[in-house]
Amino acid sequence: MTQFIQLLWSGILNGLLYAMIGLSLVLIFKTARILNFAAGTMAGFTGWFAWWWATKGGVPFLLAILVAIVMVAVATLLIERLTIRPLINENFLSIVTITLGLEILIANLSIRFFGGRAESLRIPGDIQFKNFEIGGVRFNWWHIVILISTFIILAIVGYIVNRTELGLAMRAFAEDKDAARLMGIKESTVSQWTWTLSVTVGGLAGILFAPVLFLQQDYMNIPFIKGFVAAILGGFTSLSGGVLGGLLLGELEALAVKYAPRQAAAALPVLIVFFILLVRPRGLFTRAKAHERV
Amino acid sequence: MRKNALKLLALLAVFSFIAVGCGDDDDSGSASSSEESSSSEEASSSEESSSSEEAAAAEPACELGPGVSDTEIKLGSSLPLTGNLAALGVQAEFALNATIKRINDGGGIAGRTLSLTVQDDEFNPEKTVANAQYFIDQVGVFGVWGSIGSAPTVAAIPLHDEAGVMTLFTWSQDTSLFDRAAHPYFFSLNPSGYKQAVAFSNYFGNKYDYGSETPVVAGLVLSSPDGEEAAQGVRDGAAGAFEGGTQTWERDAATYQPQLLAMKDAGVTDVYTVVGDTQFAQIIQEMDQVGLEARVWGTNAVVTSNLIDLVGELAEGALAVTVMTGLSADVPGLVQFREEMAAVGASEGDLSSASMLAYAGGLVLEQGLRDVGDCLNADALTAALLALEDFSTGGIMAPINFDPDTGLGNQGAIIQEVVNGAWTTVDEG
Repeated sequence: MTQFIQLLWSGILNGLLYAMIGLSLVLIFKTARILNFAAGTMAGFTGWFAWWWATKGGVPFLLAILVAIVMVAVATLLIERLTIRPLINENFLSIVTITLGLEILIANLSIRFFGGRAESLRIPGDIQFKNFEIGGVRFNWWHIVILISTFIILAIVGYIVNRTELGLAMRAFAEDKDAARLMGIKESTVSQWTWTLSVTVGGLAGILFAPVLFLQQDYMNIPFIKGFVAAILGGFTSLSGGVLGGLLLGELEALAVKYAPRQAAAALPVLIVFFILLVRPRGLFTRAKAHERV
Repeated sequence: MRKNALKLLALLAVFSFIAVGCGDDDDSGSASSSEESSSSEEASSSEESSSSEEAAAAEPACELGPGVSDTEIKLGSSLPLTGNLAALGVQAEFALNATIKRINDGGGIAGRTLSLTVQDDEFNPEKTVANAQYFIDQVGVFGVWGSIGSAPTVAAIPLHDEAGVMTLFTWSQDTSLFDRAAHPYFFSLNPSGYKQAVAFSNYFGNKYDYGSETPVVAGLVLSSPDGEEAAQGVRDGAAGAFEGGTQTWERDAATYQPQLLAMKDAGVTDVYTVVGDTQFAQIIQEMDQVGLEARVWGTNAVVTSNLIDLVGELAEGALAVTVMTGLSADVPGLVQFREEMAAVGASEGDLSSASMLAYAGGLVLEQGLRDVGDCLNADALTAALLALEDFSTGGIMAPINFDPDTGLGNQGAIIQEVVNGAWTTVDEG
């Protein structure tokens, strides 16, 4: 039983990573119908930035994270203004091409500034190396921090989307762009803050998981792909769907290694996702009405 | 219609003239030297002239290989200078440049200096192929040297073979490469993944003191033909008697925890992996997180100071089965290696398996080129390399003897362990 719980915990941890990236993707797609292919690279760049401030910059750890997030958020505002907003009424492919180009640019800037060697984002007290046991199940202190932080982040995003004027504007644009414009909601404002919020969520994922995955040049690329699958599983217009899709995918992967034949363990989660989408093409957590809007 | 046909014929004629003219220029090695010798012979006596003519008739004319002229030997290297393995590529490039500098500063070989063109392939086989095309068509190289990665090398070697270009001392372990019938100009100092696994297995089963408890050995390998070969190597060696199963991971895996938990369930005491140093670090960290108390074994790629920087004390006791000695070994080859790397701007962090392997390859290449002398082509260098007996790399590797069937020069296995925060040779194998 303890081994099973240990396995579930392993799945939850990965699921949280996919969930945050999935959330980051859904935030932009839900509001602006844009697929941000640079999400993983931007998340990774934020992690590297935090490392740089904490090591080369000599800044205390928490301040390094704050500085990295703020700088990346400001950079996102600039990127959105200069590259995305001019194309906001263009076709889908134009904007996707821009995000692909951003991905390549940011990846190469990252190599240029931070080098090709893997680094470790050391947490104060080295808590990423400290474990404890409850009932025979082993937990890592940094993983607990990830769990708590993720829930706080999700709660904040949920509050912003559901309880603030900005969130109301975002939901209005997601529901009906034309009506939202007619109501006087400025599309540029919604776009820039949606992008900033999305990249901030991704950046926090990049920082939280840097001690787990180690800072390598493309360490957030695979989580981006998994987050993308999570978002599709959730329905791509449901914020909670993106999160739950990520958790589901993480658990499927962990359980498949244990219970599926070795040759099928990798394919099994993909097959399950495939069958889910076959039965519910709009995703697990998207209502029919929202699907029609898409 | 007739006018167009005439224009086409004229164009073809022009291109033919150009091709013939260029062909004459490309045969410059033998053609120009024979022209020079014939002009100098005009001034000599008739007796000398007739005897040299007889000698020339007796000896076959030397056909220099591509990329070889009277003054230069051109080499190429396709390395991952950006991307995931950029650190390895940069480190290897330092070693290649150190070799070039040493040879050229010493006056070259047979009057020729070495030149090296390095191209980035981002560890992407498609780019490696494009680089191979560039080396062959644009640069005109004699050999491609020191490339990194099995997939890139496997992708590019057919082009090298077709062009008669040597593929030298790559860091790749795909078994298909180690077949000189298929790849007559391929030489390596790094064994295939299968051979490395057999070396680990035989060492573990025959020499290693694993204690009084019966060990359980498991492979943690990539879900691929390479990975399966490594797993089979463990089974085929002496440790096969203790084999406790194999766990595989996918290229898109973000964690190894499920596999490590399965090993914990199975009571595994020794984990054999074929991964890079960052993945090795992650495996060590996750073994600690899931409570798998087992020894972990890696290969050449994990013997880096970066591993210890990443996981600190957790790396203590990690083991590796390598073909090179540890950086802390007191051998003359390493002293020279450090000096020459520093001379080309490398830092302490650039002294790694990647750079040591490339450097050792450079030592062997230099000896082979010196043994060939003037008449350098792929067949001559091949014969020279195969003729090497117990070639010394100053203690960096076991003495080099190339297997004529596989092209592998290093048959040994050196065991290293992280002791007090540094990789240390614990058994010469």
